[in-house]
Amino acid sequence: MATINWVPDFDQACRQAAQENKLVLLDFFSPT
Amino acid sequence: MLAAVSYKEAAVIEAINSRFVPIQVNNSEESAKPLVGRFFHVWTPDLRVLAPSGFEFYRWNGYLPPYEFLPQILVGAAQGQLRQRDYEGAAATYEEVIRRFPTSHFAPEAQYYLAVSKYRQSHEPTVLAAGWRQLRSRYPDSIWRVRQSQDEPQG
Repeated sequence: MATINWVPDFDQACRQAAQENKLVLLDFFSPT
Repeated sequence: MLAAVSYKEAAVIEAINSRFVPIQVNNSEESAKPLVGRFFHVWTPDLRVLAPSGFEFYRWNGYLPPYEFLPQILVGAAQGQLRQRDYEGAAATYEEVIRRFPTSHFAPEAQYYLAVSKYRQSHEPTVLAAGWRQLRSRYPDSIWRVRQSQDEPQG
């Protein structure tokens, strides 16, 4: 089953988005 | 709830993975404080569509089930395309929202910015006028119709 390819680090997300010509999706969540 | 429901939907997964580099931030962790401060985060769910530079193009709060989350995230992606002046790409994404989710809460917003995207691409006033007519016709009760009602009779 496919899953969302979350990346673990914000700076990595920005760098990867630049390289892949994508946008960054930032999801703030609360565990409760 | 997003994780339990919407993030398990295949169409949502495909839309996120194909258009975004996604990152989740647990707002209760100490390590999240810099991003919480930088983005003035106060309430979850809190989703931001960002440029690779970190500049915020679009945001929304609140849980959405998959049938509304998907058009919402596509509208967010389209706004990113539009703000980066990819008018053709933005128009295609807004058209996808209207085609796949014509009764969604986000379809009127897509119809509004579809007109903007096509006008910015063509510079043709007739294109913009046609877009506004479609918005008035399809979504007459929407706030997005009101946002372009300056030429309608007032009173």
